[in-house]
Amino acid sequence: MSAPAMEEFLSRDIRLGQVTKDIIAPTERMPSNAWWLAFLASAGLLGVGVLVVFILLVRGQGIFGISHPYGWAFDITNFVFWIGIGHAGTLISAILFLLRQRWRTAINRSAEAMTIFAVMTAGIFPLLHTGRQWVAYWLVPLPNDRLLWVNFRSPLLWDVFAVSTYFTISLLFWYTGLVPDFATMRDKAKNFFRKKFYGALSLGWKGSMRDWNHYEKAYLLFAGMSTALVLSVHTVVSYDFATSIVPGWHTTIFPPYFVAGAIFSGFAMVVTLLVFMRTAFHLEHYITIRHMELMNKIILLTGMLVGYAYLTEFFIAWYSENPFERYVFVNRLTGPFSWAFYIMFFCNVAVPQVFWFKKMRTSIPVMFVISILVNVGMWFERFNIIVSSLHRDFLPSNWDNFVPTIYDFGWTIGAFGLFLTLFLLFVRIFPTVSIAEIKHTLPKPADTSKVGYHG
Amino acid sequence: MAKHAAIIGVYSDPDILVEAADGARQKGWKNLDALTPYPIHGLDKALGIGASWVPWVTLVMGLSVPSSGSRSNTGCTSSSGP
Repeated sequence: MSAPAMEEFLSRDIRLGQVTKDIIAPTERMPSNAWWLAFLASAGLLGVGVLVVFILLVRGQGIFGISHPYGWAFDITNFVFWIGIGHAGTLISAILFLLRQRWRTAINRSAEAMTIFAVMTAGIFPLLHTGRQWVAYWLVPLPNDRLLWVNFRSPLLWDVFAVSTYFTISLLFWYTGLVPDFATMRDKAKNFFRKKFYGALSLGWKGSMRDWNHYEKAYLLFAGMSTALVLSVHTVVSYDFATSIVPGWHTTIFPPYFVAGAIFSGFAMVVTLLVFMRTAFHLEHYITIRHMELMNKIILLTGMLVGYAYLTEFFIAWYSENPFERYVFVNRLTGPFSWAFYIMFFCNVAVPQVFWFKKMRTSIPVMFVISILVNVGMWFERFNIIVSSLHRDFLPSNWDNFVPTIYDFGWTIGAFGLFLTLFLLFVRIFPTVSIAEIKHTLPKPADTSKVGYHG
Repeated sequence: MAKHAAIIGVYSDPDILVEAADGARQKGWKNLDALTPYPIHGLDKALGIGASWVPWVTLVMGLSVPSSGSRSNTGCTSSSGP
């Protein structure tokens, strides 16, 4: 894809001062009724999640449907799902930055915020699944009197490091980008409280060329580090499965397959949220249909990559002549969880094909429905990998059918509540589009002699 | 020039600002700086600002953290481990 000129995205009529006004405006006015409605709904879902966690802490893991032989089910499905959601933000902010895809400028801030909230949501699942949550810090190799050391040969421990590194780098990257914008908000602040709040967040930013010099270098370095993380984090997550000997998990295709799936689901989530954000906050001039279309193209591409991975898995199961591997894949198609497989295949492989048509790629209602379906499909992909591989293990007398409990559903929707609540707070308090970067990439007015350019 | 301790100016176009900064530097003004709403290409050179030291800090940290990390790894699994 050649890098299109910024003129195709942003109108020449936008002036610099207008950018600041437009982007700060949603944080200055009182929230709309729609925002309150959305906020109360997500806070309600979050409340359900908090209640489930409370019951979990009191009564223990037994409240969930997990049992022998499926020791993992909804918890790790949700973990992998949410970690995957985060990948779009990192890809947009890092890889597209290094590839000089300047269209990312309008969407990177909100996508990065999504990354951070998604990783926070994801982290809760393994943490609570440890069983004795009050000693979760044992996951870190601390010198101690217990003489209890972590096992560095376990991919579950690599996960601890991969996810915590991912979170740290994403947070710093996001915050670095926010500093100049916080300073702009501080300078535009209309009351004492806002001035102090954004002033503290802006770390004394003046916009001096010396600061910009450091800023640009730091941003570039963060982009380089994050680029590696886009590929490494979900690779390590896939090792949780791939390094085991469970048929259906023990496969070398998992790392690229998981990374493609993560980008796929992440972009779908970005589309879902931006459809609302751009309209609700009148940001259509900055987040244009062209932006949405390009994201839909990425969804189409990554959707076909995961489709290819699904088929390769079946091919290898047949080609390997391993009876256990073959059984697992026949079981996926015909067993008690085949419905999960068909939902996954329909949502992830069939549905995105609609995006071959430009009319569909540029239609807001169509992309909204597809982005939701893609995420339904991606949730079921993880469910399918985890539960359908585990429920029939090597010993047929062990076989059992997984039945989720009300608590499994409770903390699944609670996770959506947490993610959406954080995102709704973000759009109210922070600049949702990078003010400095938009100004940097804004096309010069056709007639530069106009004084209004500066705004 | 000798009469003035400092000069200050306001510019509405980035290209003119870079030109002005370049001119001021060539006339011998020191410690030049510019406050801008976004980074402007070539302005750092025009103002005579050197390269950022951020990459060096990153290099030092980048080299030291993996070595202490691998120390902790081998420490846990071999010397202190059970």
